[in-house]
Amino acid sequence: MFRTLLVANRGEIACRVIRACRELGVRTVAVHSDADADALHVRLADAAVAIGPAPSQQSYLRQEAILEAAERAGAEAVHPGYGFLSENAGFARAVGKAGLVFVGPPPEAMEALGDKVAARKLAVREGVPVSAGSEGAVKDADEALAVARRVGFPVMLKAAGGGGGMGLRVARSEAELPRLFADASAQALSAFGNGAMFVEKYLERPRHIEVQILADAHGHVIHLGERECSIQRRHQKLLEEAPSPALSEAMRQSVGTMAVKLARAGGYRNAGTMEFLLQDGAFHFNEVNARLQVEHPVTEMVTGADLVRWQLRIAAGEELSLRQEDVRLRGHAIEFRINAEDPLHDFRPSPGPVRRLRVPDGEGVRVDHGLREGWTVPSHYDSLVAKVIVHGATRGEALARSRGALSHLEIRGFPTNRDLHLLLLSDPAFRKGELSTRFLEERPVLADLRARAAAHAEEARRRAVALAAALAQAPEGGIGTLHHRHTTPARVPRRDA
Amino acid sequence: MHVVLEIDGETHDLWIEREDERVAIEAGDKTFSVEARRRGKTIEVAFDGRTFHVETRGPTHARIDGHLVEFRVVGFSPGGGPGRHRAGAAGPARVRTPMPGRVVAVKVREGDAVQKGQVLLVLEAMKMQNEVHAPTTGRVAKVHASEGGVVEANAVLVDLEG
Repeated sequence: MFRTLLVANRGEIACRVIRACRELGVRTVAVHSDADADALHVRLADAAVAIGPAPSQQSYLRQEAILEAAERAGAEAVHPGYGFLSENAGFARAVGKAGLVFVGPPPEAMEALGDKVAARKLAVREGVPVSAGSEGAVKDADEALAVARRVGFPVMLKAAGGGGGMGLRVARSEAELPRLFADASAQALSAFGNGAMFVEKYLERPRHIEVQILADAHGHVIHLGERECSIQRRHQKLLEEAPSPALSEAMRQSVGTMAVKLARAGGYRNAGTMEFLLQDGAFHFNEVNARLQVEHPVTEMVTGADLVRWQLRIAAGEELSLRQEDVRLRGHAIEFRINAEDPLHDFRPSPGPVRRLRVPDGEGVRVDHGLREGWTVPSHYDSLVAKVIVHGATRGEALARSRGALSHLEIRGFPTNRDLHLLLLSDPAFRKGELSTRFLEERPVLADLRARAAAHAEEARRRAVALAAALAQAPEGGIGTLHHRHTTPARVPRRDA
Repeated sequence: MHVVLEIDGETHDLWIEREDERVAIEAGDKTFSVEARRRGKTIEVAFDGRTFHVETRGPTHARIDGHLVEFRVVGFSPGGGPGRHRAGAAGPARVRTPMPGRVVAVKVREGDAVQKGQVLLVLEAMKMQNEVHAPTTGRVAKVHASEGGVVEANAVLVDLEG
């Protein structure tokens, strides 16, 4: 095992990796931007190196600064977490060239499976079903139109190098396709440096099912069951569970076998995820996530396997002693992503100071987070600030525990999506496990949240009126006296004549 | 009088006129006719068919119907009252940041005429871009932000004149 490992990430995932390292006796080195100098991951690590100003391009994405920090700190390995440089084959290669171990797949596998067009071709070759569409990238909008006519509208226009909902458009008619194609291609070119596009038949109400795999350098490849991640907003996951309420044991085995086949064919190693869309009982391969995922804890909860520990052991050359027949699913787990965002204003980001933090615990409750009271969530990075993960013997028990855990969670200082999760737990369709990627558009959860917020605001207004009236009963100038007791300067806008 | 009251972290803008036990309070889009009576330590505040029991505990705490709240009077001016503060108010409309972040584009210049809903600036935070729109039709009196700059929550970005 490594003696020292550098964590090339921040936030909750950096804290998660540091925890796994500690359990294995590995010394950790954190890197941080100026905005994160006081962050939790910096405090938890054994050593920390500043790598640049707040913007990611000048810090967490600066390969040479990270490699230099690794060398200076005497690290033998680099864990990239998710996001940032985690799926950058060039970085994985540079880490190897510097004589360090990259905790993740080999760069060749990342290229073979990370590119969506290449992965789709591989799936077709391996007999893994994909949605009808173009064989590879299309050369222009005309070719995309020809494919769309063949498979029928609506179609999804997808960027080969896309991710996180970028470079993705749904075309519903011939008329709008050329414009959408140009939009998506331009967006993908500017965001990912790759404007190549391909076309797939658009599935209207699919479920998002993904399979966790582990592969070592000794030829062992296993899957650890699926996660369902259908509840999304802006094509980004909000809540994940394992196992999926939609899968029979036969379907689980079938999709698990497909995932293992793809991993083998792509020369995959370490932890990875194969994504599928499920509609009308049929799986369609979607893409590969060649890294550890945000939602990995639900798999850990139901299998008892520590995925980050396995990542480290596989990277250190150890054999995967966990065999397919050893993998047993126990109970049900749900992960709630707690984001610094305001669901009532189109999920706009809401970074701010952590004025108060209360984290739930108890039987079957785990919280991964990177927060500290008195610290300010920077506006430069992802809005995910915490993950509440709950396990129960059954889905029903997990749901009941989730209500308790989420109610106990308190983050003050900025808006979060906690209350949206609490309302989701009450939604009858959600409780029955009737999920789709269109769930938030189709169910009244957001409308309920809006109504609740309005009722809360009205009650707060009335309490303010009551308090003001009471304060006004003090002798003349009473409220003014209270005001002058405070050291803060007056912030009364001058609106009166 | 005009009072800005912060209760448990939420800010309320209140215009108050008191005549003994009768108090008129404008809050947001509504003016409340309130009766406030002292009963020992408690003040009973009645409006809209409901009575609140308020007990102040020093300059920063109060019990409202038994619930302890923390408050601060963060703004005060003796002038004005319900319905009177808008008379003659013609100052510029201030467009503020909906979220802290980085200014990625400024789409208007001082002196530009803008239509309601027109994009004034584009902000980016947490990898998401948000457009800031003109709340009214008018003319740009001043732009307080510059491209590449970082803005705090609720900072003034643009002054608009009607």
